[in-house]
Amino acid sequence: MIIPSRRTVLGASAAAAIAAALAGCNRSSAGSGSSEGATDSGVLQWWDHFEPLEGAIQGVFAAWAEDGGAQVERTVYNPNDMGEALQLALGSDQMPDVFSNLTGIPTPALVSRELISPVALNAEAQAAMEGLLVEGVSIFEGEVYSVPIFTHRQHSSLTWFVSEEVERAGGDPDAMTFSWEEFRRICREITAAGQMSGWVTNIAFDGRLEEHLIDLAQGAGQPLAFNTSGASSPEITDPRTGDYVFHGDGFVDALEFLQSLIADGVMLPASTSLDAKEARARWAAGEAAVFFDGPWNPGVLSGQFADFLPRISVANMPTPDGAGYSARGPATGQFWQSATSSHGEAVNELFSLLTTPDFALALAQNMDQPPADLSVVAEADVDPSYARAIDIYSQWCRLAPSPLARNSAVGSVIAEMEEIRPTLGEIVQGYLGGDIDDARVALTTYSDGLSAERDRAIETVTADGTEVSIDDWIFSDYQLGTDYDPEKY
Amino acid sequence: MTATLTQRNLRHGTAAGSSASKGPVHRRLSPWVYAFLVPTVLLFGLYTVWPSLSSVFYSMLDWRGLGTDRSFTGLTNYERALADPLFWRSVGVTLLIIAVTVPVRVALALVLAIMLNNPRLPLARLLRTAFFIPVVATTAIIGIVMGFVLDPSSGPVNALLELIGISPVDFLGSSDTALWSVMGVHIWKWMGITMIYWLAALQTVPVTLYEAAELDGAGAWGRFAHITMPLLVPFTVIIGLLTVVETMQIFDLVLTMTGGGPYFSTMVTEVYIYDQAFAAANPNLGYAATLGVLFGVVTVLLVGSLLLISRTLRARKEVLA
Repeated sequence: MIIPSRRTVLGASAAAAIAAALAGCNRSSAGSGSSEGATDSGVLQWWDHFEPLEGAIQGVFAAWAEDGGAQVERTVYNPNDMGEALQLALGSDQMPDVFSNLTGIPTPALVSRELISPVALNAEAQAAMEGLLVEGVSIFEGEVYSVPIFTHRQHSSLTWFVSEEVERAGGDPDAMTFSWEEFRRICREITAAGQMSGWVTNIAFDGRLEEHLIDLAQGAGQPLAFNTSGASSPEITDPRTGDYVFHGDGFVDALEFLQSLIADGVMLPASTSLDAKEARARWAAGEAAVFFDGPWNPGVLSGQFADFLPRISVANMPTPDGAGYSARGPATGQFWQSATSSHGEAVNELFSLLTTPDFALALAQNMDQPPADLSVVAEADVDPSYARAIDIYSQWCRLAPSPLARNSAVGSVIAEMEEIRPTLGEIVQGYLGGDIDDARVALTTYSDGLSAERDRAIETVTADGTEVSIDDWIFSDYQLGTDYDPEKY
Repeated sequence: MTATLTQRNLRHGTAAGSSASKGPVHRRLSPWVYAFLVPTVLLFGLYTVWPSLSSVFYSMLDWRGLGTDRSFTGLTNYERALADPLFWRSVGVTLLIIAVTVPVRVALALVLAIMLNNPRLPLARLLRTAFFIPVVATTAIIGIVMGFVLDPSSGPVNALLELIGISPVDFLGSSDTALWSVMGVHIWKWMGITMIYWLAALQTVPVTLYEAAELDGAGAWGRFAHITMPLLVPFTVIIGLLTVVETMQIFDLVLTMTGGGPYFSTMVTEVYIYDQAFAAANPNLGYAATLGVLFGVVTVLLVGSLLLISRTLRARKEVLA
């Protein structure tokens, strides 16, 4: 028997380690290859962040499979993780066939960078999308890139409340709207009763705070132009001047309204370190009576806090006189086909299925964002509070003008802009938390910073011959409370 | 390398040996030495040197991190970073955390270690384990749990404060208290590992010295001041440096406890870099790399300064001795 020396054993171990490392590298390559192989083998990769839409989206996949379509592998990401996943996928040429755009890159820039490719809808889908697809938002140079599955008639600042508590405080639980004063009074009454706080919010989630402020500012009379139905502050301007106007009276008044709720002592103290999910959970646990949230609230409650759902009702966001409107820009598509996809035909069929009434009905029944066709909600099996939220949107939400729809080069300008810090949401957080004393000064600095950055971005973008100017942001004929229909561009 | 080894042999190993008198010895290194070095060099190169060099390259790009659309911009990102008040604020927060937590952690851990090193202490092993458990617990879990523990509405800490008549404190939601709360949790979380370093250091102190001092009538304080502390001085430098480096990696605790807020009050540099690279509405990996390189420079300067100070002090001490 040959007994190996210590040196031999160590040498062999080293050699084995190197071999293992090389094999590991090899496996990585094989992994990469196998990913491509999965695409080539007929499995369509679909990444999105719409967790509550499981039923509706799987229904589309099932319908497609029944027609002989190939297998779809859906990966649902947390919205916070989706951007990172796409960053890594783009960097390593492993993009899925279809993805929801949380890259931070506006759609026109995705098009110009050739990261996404157009789709061909079937005739039925084209008819269904008549008037809903907007050049610069879903269509680029005449080619359809996506289909909006949600309506623009929505916002994330509905007033969700415990009916019995509002009634006990002397409020009308059937009211569609509340004035700021009435809202404050109700919250004070509820808090004074000592059982719970009047209001819980999500101060740790500055993105949602930003949305609340934008919605409330419109309710306070500030008309705004939105590029799309999203509420990202670099894309939101005063339609009368094209300027950033976050220091305007509407925004300052809205911010002071939120601050007054804290000064009144009606806010659940823990709100300072809660995000939206946690704030909703505290609300559902009975720690507060009122919570601002989007239309998806009953959908989430039905899954996580089903016992609490029958106790709630909803009104529009509070406005100074209880009669304020809000608006958002044209609805954009949620899903985009990666330019690297080899499943063009399959994606065409899947996107066409997203336009069917069956899918809209399934979307409504998921009680997430309202479907593009709101009429299906009437026949959907949904909680009454969800149906009521849709009624509120139908009555109080309008279509805002969109600089992007007027000139898609606006998207390139937005993509070129660097982020201005503190952001609008961070300013709201800072003011509500007592770190900022003068809200108007902070907001003016923010507006000025965005304006200077946009000027720089316009210069950069126009340097290569692209035609875009500040005039693209001006819609002097727009009035808040009216729809800015496509024919007005 | 051969020359270095030879000089070392001359300096140390051969002072009393015969080889010194025979002049320099040129030993041929076995090829196996290089073979054994290959994995280390390979892995160190792949996972340390290459990422570092890549970061410097990325820091000179205008690159969102999305796709291959990037352009070389030279030092533009550095100009932006040097004028970025949030970056400097984050560096300030990081340095403040180091300045506060490192001395507290090192001193408290020493006290604990001395207590637990006492063979007459009952349940010493149990206590050592108890102090070490937070070290092995996942930081992210601790961050989340501490969110509940410190909750101003229903957390147990505020319930206790209320019992003794103190109104609720918004530990993590107020910029006045959030940073101090994070520092407190950080000290508690990592105290155990510093304590283990000290326990190891205490094992190097010869028991005979204590016995002799006891015979000479030295009390506990005398033994500590004249035996323990002088012999632990070299360890203090090492443990201090290790603690500084560990403290600079406070990222996960901050991210889970406060996310850098409220209003940047706990925004340490690592969280700000992460924010720019991944969490911003418009991520910028090139700029994040720049911040990373600058933070690396700050780290090297800090650790280098500490080493320099300790060497100077040691040299002065040797001169005085």
